[in-house]
Amino acid sequence: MERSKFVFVAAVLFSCLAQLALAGSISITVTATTSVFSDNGIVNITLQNNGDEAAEDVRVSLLLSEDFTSDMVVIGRLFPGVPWSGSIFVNTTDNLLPGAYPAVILTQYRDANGYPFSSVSKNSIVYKEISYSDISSKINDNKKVELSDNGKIFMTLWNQGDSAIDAKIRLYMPLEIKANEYEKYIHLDSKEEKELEFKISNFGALAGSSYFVLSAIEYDGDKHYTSFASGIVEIKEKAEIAGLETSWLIFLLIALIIIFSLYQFKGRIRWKKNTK
Amino acid sequence: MEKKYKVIKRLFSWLFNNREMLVNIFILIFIFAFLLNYFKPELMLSETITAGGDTASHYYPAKYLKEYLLPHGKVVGWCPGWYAGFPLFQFYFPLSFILMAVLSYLIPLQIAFKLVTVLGSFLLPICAFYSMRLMKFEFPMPALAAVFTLPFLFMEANSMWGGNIPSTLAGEFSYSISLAIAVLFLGSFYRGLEEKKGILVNSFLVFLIALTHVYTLLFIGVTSIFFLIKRNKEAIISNLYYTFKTYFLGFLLSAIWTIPLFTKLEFTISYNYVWVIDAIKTVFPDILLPIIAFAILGFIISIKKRDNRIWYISFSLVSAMFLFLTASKIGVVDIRFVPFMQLFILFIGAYGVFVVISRFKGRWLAAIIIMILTVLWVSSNVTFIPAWINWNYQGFENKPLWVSYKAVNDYLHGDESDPRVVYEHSDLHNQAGSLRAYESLPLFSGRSTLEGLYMQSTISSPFVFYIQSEISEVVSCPLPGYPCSPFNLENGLKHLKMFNVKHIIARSDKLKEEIKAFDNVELVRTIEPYNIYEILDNENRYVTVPAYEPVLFETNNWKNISYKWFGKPDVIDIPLVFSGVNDRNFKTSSNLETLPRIAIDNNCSISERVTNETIAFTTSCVGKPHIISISYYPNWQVKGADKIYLVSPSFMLVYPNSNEVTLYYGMTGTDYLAILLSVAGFVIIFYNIFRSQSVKRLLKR
Repeated sequence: MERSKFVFVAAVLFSCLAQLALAGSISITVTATTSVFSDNGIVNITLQNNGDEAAEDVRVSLLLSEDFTSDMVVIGRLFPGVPWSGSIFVNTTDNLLPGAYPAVILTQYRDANGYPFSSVSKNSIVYKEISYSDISSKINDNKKVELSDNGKIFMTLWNQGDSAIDAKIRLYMPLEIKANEYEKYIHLDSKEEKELEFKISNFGALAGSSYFVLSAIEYDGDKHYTSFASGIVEIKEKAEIAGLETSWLIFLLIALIIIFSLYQFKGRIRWKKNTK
Repeated sequence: MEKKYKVIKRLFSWLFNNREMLVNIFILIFIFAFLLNYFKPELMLSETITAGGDTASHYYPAKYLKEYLLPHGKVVGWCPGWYAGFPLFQFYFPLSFILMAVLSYLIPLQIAFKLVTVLGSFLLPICAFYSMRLMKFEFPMPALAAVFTLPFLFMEANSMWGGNIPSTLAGEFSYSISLAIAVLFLGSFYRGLEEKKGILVNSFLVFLIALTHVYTLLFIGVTSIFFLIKRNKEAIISNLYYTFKTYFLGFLLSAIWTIPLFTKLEFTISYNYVWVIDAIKTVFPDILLPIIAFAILGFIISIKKRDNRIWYISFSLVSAMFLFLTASKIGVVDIRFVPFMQLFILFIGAYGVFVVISRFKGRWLAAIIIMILTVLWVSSNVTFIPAWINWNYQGFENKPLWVSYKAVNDYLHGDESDPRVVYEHSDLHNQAGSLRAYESLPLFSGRSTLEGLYMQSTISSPFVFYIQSEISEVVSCPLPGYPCSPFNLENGLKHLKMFNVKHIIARSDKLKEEIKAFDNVELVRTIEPYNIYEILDNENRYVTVPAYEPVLFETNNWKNISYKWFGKPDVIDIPLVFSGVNDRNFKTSSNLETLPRIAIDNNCSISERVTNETIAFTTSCVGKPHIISISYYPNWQVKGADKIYLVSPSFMLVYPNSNEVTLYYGMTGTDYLAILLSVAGFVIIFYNIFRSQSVKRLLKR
């Protein structure tokens, strides 16, 4: 009787605290609008937390090419269901070619435990005139990139135009994923298709989560051209614990629990045999 | 066949009879295997220089200890590489570095460094196990305590409080080692007091704790009060006597380090930062919660059972809470006491689980089940730790900016006699291995720089961070009570010349752009993404004669006055002397606005020879003030002048009475006294060891 009381109290306490441990999620969506500008541009951004837990220390910044500058915007706490809207000003000092330039939005925040998270969102700014890139591209054939510790991102680029292009390809990823190289250069003849490869590694990305990654393909002609390719990096669960496959460990655990349960009846069975 | 059967039967019988011991061994091995799964041997045994956070900067002191201090017969000594020089290992804990240096005679220093930085994480489970054994907890309580250190070690909620793996990776490995020893001490001290034995071992543990971290020393000190809370007067006196003997002998052993530490605290900068904890989950994150449930149960049971050992552990928890709440009043960082609370709750949790499974048959099986459950739970909660481990232990050499970083260091190559190098603070340095990568300039280039680790260890650090804020687009400004400057290159260049800085490493476009406006600064090298500039009108000497007579400033708070003076560009050419006694007919003042300005003919011929611990110079200006732009510290002594004065901002000032002057880093009276006390402590230890019966018996054989 006393034993069952103990087990009951322990189980109640355990389940209460386990509930606490499992509560809460954060999911931030980012939308942005911008218009053609000549000196100073504005990127209007709206953030919405679709989860059920407030995101802490939220900051938004633009990842721009070296010809542009902008400031980081510190939002602070972002409560679920309460959207935040604001603007980031973009300045340029140089005389640039008109056209589209990448202005990827990097959102950083922390959860209640202080865990840092980040995400990138596709966005570009248009300086003086709109331009349409001749390069189309895709990441990993539009399939998810699986990543445990280290992995690769494959890009396919296709020049649909009639003239050769020297393009710069830059990766934009959340801070939890790192690349050995972020920038690569490529020459594409007219109608030519080429493949590129970036080595990436897990830098604190959560197992079981998917991360949105981007690459911007830029080149100069009569204007500046930018196009994007996007992909998903899925973080695979680490399959090993202390050199053992997790599945083996779970199997061992189940086996031990069964043996342990049977062990509890060991004496009783013997006693029953004896009484017979 | 029958014989074989008998052997197997006997083997099984032996295994079954010794199942508790075997389960203990199995659990400890499994914990080690689990840790090694993260700290992969191929990473830990690779000959690269550890990067990441503060850890990266700890390597230079380790190398300096091995290559300069130990061969000169010392552990504490002057290090010129950071902050205009500071007494290395006087105000930071030397034991882990000694261990690295000693190990490096067997294996490469890079590997020795890596192994010692993770030592605390590997020691904690084993120390928890033996601590519980020493307190005579029954099986499987010690094994459970060891297992429950894993959620603590792999807790990712903070990386600055200490003890857990993220904090260790961020540079707090000394704390981790100290915490493990403190856990062992608590068990050993409990047993010692119960049996009135083991004073030597316990005082030696106090010595080890003192030399690894002061926070753990404070913690065990307060925790020991538990044994003085007794109803029986005799028991109080007996416990007090034992406690006094333990701590006194521990104090004697560590006196060589602790006495100079406490007597020279005036020459440090206090850092009593009060941490704002805005959510309880930061203190008790998810990974700890299931065990906290058992801790509540364990505590309730301990009250019912009147288990003194759990009360002792609970008292330790209360002690940590007390220290946390009073930390700011005693001038220490409050947050460093939280890991004790977290860890000791887990031990009470282990007791809760122990009580529950003790009511079942086959606790040895239950212990393994609990271990597997814990390991699965911990694994499911780990996110960034593997990435951090990789980042740190892959080393500088495998970082994206290594080629540029090495090229910058190669270009600046020199030694401690060359003028200093300053670098712009930037978050982007992380690509070179750490935000603090350029603190390793003395390691990779041989040249001294301004910023460094151990910012409390010298009176020069506030000025160094002030300069950082003047020349950097992004600033760190880490010292509470010392506000920084807005970006101001003009003032920054004046201060840089005061600190004998010849080269500037620029990272941001802002600095690269704004520096173009200065004619006295020349771009000498571009190594993308860095620009290296030379300050053309820097004197490139550590010894200079000021343009105006130094003024004796009358104040009780010279650190504050000197800092204000540093921020006033109109008066920084009038040096302030903070000696207290006017033994040279100095002009005096107590107001920065009305400092007497008396010009000096400083057209002197000075040649200098600077090494790590000496500054020798020949001067044509005998009797005139000579400022040495190296941090003032009482161990500096002089030949060729009467005395060394402390002069603003934090430098040394001498008035030569001969053409040849030599300043050298020596020893003070308290240093000699400290050595004497430590020798006495070790004599007591060895005398008692040789007097013990077991050693006598051993020697007779």
